[in-house]
Amino acid sequence: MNGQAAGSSSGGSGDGGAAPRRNTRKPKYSKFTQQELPACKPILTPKWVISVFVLVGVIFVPIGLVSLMASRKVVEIVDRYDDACVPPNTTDKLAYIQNPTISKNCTRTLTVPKDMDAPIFVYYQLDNFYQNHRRYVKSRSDTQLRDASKANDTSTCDPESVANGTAIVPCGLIAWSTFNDTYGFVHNSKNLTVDKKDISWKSDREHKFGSDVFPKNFQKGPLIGGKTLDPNIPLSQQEDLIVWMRTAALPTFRKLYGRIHTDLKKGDSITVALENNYNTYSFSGKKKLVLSTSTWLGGKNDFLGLAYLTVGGLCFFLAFAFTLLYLIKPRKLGDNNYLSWNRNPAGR
Amino acid sequence: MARGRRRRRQKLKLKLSALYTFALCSKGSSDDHSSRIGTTGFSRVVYVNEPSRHDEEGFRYPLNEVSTTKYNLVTFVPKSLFEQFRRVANFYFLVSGILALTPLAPYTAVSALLPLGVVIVATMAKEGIEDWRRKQQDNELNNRIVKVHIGNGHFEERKWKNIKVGDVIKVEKDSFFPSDLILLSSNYPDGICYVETMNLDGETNLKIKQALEETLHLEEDNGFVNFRQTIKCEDPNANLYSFIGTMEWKGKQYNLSPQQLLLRDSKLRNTDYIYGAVIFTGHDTKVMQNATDPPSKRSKIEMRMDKIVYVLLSSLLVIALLGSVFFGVWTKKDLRNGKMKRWYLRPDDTTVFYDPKRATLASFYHLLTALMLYSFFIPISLYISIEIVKILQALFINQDIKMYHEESDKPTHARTSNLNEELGQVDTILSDKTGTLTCNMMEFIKCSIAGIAYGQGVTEVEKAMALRKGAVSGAEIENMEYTDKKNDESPHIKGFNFKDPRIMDGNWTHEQNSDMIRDFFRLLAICHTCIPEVDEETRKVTYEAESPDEAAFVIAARELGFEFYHRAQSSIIVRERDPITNVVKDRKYELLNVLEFSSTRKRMSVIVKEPEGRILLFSKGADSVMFKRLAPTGRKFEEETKRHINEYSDSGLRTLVLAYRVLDDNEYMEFSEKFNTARTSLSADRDQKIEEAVESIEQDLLLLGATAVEDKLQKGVPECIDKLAQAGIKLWVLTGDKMETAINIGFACSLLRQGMTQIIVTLEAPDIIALEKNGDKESIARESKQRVMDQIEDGIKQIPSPSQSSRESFALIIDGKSLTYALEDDVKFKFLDLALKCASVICCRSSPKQKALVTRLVKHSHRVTLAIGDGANDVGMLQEADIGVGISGVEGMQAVMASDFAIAQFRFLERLLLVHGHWCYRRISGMICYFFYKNVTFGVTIFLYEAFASFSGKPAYNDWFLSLYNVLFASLPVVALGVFDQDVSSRLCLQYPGLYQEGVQNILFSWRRIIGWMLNGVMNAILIFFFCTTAFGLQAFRQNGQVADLNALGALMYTCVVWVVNCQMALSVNYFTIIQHIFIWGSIAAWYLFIVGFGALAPNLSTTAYMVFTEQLAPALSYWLMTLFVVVATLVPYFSYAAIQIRFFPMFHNKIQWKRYLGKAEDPEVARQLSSRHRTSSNQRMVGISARRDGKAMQITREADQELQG
Repeated sequence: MNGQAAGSSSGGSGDGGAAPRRNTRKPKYSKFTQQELPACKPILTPKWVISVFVLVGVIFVPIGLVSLMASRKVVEIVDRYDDACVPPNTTDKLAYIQNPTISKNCTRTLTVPKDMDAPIFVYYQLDNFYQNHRRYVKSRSDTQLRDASKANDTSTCDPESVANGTAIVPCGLIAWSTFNDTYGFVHNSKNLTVDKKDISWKSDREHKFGSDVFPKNFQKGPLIGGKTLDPNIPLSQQEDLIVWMRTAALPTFRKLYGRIHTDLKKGDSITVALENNYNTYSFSGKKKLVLSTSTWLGGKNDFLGLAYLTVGGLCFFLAFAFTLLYLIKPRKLGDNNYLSWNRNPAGR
Repeated sequence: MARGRRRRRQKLKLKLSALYTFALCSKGSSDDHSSRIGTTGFSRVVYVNEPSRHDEEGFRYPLNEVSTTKYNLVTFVPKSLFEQFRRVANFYFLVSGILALTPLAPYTAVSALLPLGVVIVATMAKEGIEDWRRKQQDNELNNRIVKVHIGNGHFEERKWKNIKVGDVIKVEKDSFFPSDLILLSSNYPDGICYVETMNLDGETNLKIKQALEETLHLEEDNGFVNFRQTIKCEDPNANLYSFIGTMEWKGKQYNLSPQQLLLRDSKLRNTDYIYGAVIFTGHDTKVMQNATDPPSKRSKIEMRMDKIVYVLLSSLLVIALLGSVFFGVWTKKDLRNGKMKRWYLRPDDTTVFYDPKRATLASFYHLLTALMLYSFFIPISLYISIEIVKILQALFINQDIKMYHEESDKPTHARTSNLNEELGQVDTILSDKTGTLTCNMMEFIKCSIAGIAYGQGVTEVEKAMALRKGAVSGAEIENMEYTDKKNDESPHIKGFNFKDPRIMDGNWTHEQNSDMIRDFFRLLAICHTCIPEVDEETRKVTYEAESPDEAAFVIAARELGFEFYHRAQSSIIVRERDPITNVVKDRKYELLNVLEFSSTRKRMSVIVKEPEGRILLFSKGADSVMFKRLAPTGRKFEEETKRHINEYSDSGLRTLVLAYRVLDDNEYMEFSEKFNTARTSLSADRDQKIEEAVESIEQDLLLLGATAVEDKLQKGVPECIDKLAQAGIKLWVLTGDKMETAINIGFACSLLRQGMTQIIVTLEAPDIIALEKNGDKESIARESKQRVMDQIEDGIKQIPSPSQSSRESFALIIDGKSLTYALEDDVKFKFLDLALKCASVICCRSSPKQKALVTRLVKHSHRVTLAIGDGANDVGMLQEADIGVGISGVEGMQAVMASDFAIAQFRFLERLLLVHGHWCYRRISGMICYFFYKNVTFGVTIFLYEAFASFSGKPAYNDWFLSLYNVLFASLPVVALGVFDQDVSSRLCLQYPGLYQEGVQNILFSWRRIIGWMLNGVMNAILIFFFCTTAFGLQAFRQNGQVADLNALGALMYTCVVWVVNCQMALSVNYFTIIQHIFIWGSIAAWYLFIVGFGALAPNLSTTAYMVFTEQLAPALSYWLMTLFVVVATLVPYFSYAAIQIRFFPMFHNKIQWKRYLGKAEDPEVARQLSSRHRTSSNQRMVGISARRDGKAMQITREADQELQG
């Protein structure tokens, strides 16, 4: 009351504005400078809280259901073969895999649990493989991959930059360690063709890997890492390499190997003829072959659906709980016995 | 020039120096000065009128150009950089920026250095602009014009900066001295001039300076044609009140004293012109030597913020160490017995950073990498954002139209923006009285003549007292005022508020003691040191006085028909209206002596000769000294007068006792002889002899009466104090006034009230006074201290401990003498203890130093102190306190210059603290909490990702995502929060002062809250990270089968982080203006725009962000679903917490928000209820009008109870 009086009087008194003073230092009035801009002052009233929770629930639960259904529609076959493809009596798996003279062919039989509609995506899954290691990620030369004239630009590629005195194309650890297991599929004694086109991102093919850049001097160093590349095919068409060079975010990852454009029926059995070349034994990483269909949501991942359902359900629960709380403990709004700062001396 | 001459002719030449007794008599007192000239510290030589000779003789004196800038063109860059990197966080960023240039960096150097560069450049730009402003101020000073002698008696106008040592300059009336000068002559024949030193010491009274007699005659321009002098003096120093030098002229040496020294920044007043010789220029001048950097103050919040930075830095170090250990272990394992584990990393052929053979070293290097990577825990833009926010807040304070004072045309001015939020945490206000609580405008309001009290005006204090006694209700008071105003038909005369038909308009002649009344007014018209100024057109007289009291007296005399009209060399002309003939005639009093006022004498007298030939001594002074000097015959009205004086001082008025004496010629001759011999004597006890002579004549006085002058309370002061008290802020009054006045003002301001127990600590006890007369210093000190101790301890005993609930409240009143002892080391904490238990504290008779000491003492109790004052005597207090507020009122600028905030009126303090202080506190604390929250959120996602990348130091995000987070996508909303957020409107802030306690108790920036925010950040980060990695980890995320790689996952997580922190902001904002909407949603939009635009750049620029959004994420429905899910799921916990907190554990501002929401906040009954509920437990609100009302209500109920029982 007094404050208002004191406040308003300062404006009202004075020299009455009869002769407006020149050069007055009076602040100009505007809603902005007086901090009186029109504003929304939200306050979490019971109505608001409950309706927000209900709204979230109403939106989330259907999304969750749809997502979960989509995920459930996906058929996925996962086959771990790293152990199985080593002859049973091999004691030193590492020696086995590192011995280039031994044939690494291996046959696996998969049973289709449900009908799978084309396209069926073929992935390989590696485990405990740190593609996101800083040394690994950095060990590549984007300029070299893109531009044929920059073949010698390998400064970032150590230790796989130069072999026998000339630059390696593509250089770096990533390219050097490209995954080199191969899969062939036989279904009803017919070969299933694996379409390896368009398994990489279009932007990679068109802008990051040059169509006039050819592998050169690749895998000629003292150590052979992974896949060798056909020096007659430009990098932009080496899609396995392109896919591999999109480094994975986490140590367990899948990468697209190809697509099968044939529908598979439930109970069908597929024979996989694979070459088990890639060394994951030294770091005890698992290797898996994955066949999967997809939906609008992508692959088989119940998480999103479940998460939506959980949070949606939780919100319904919270809406209910808050309703109860508000009903059981209706606070009369004049009740101010709770002295927030007298209760918590920690405020000091 | 012509004008000057005309004026000169009009004014008779004054040679007052002959009359003044004390002021000028101590010139050239000792000769030992000259002996020191030429020794170290006294080596300056000035060739007057030959400025070029100094260079020739090898003296290097600085130019008169002054510069107060911090930097110049050369030093700006290094110096301001150095200033910035002194902050530990900035230094950390600098180091990590430099390290980013090495291969250790987890990101590209440019992405790390760019934000740092932006922040540094922004800060430097701010510094630069501030310095540029200072430079412009300097330029304004440096380019002022003054007249300088250029030879042959010609004076030419020159800029200040071009003045050299040795120049002779002419300074004209009302202009400032450009440098330190030796006064050579003035337009007055005795070479005196009046100087206003307001800028130096804040005193408004004029000081008299006088030239040496030998140079007096140089009063014309052409007197300087062949003028040559050599002045030798001390070297530049900071002592304003001492000066030693000699002047050599025509083969003779003369001593120079401070009496001849005119200081830069003081102003020539009442003197048409002076001639002076420049001796100190530019930074050599005393005022510049005095300029010390004001103590730099930092707010408590900022200090705590530094602690948070340290906490974060150390937790950052801990997690970096943790990561390094893991990294080291894993790296070491990569190569065992020549066998490579993770062969794809080629551990056999590697650099030191990943070398398994040198794993320890590698992990050390990794530590550096990690420290760089986790630098996102520390918000790089924190300091600059806070500075920007504070500048904007200060702008709002400056722009507040409700803190603008129309009369003086002064808006509130935040002189520093460092302390905005400290305004919201003030616990104790230490206030000066005069000029702060009161206007320092004296109004003659009452007088007692010959035992009869005159004057019917009602003082502010009387109004307050009437209220206090409950005699009149508020409405009646207003009526009183109303009738007051109606009667007041004539325009109000400043300094005069006296109404009494008995003696006004010449009616005094009909009173019974009319001759005494006449003498009374004559005394008022004659006994003073004012100088009249006659306006040439209107013939109106105004007065130039040393103190406002004196002006009030002369004005009163004028209004009652005794117009002091002219002061001449040795006479005073008073125009008196003859009551019988009603003719105005001039009476010329011959002025024989002026015995000036001094604080020890507490009185002043003049000796005049009436036209009729009677010699009179008029004397006025404090009652304590005057009553002793009355003649037995002059005590006729002593009783009544004493009673009146008590009444007057009871109503808060300043009183003086007036008395006179008729001297016969012989008596005067005797005195005059004695006095003159004393004056001219050269012995050491000269001053004492003068004192004795004066003492002998100021005896046997006849009492005339007493005057009462009101020191008017400023408008709105009691209401403001009441509000502040309701807000739980304690107000201590530190005043130089005597105890009675202080107590009166205390009552007027409602700091004291009836029913309050006054604990008075004083040494005015008879035995102590008796002891003092004996004069044994040691025993006085011992006894006094013991007395003070006892009184303090008594006081403490009186106050019940807080456990005993008692509604009684206490006031502590202590005088300056006791304060000296109370502030000694072994007593002061007891004193503090007592003072803190009292509702109000009044320290009277305190010196400026004591004010500062008391302030320091209160600071000891870790309370935020705010000192408010207006005079030079408050400067120490203002600088010592956490916040200094200067009143930009009538007194000098000194207090304002030393203050952090300048307001025009005390009452603006209410709005400054309760509204702006509260808002700024809440904004800054919210802003800092949020700043750390958003960076913790971001940093933890980086850290968690590390754990999945074998701690190799690979961030999940693109380099530019990393560096732009703090600059672009999460910075502006927090600035908007810091500038615009308000929990409740300003009106409600004022209506519910209890809200202020949130700041005092630091609830919004408690460690609990800070850590709560950080934990919220950690939790958010964990949720974001695990949701994103689980959803996008393994499987295809699009219909055509692609899996998410590092780039896609990084972009998804980043999207979620940007959404979450901005939505969190939206949830915690209380005040959603269009600006908040733009900033919050704009930040999110900016992210999408950025990722589209940046991703469209050529792949060599955008690297991992190339097309990541347009090609991979945007077409994937799962990306959008994930964003929605993560944002909602992450914020549900906070939302639930907030819903429960605001509903079931509301803080005070929440309650007001509820009330506002229900539309009840305006209801005064609700307001009273809410506020009173809030203060029940604390005994804060013991003072103020409301407390008085409550106290009164209680008293009535108690009385009623007693009656019932009885």
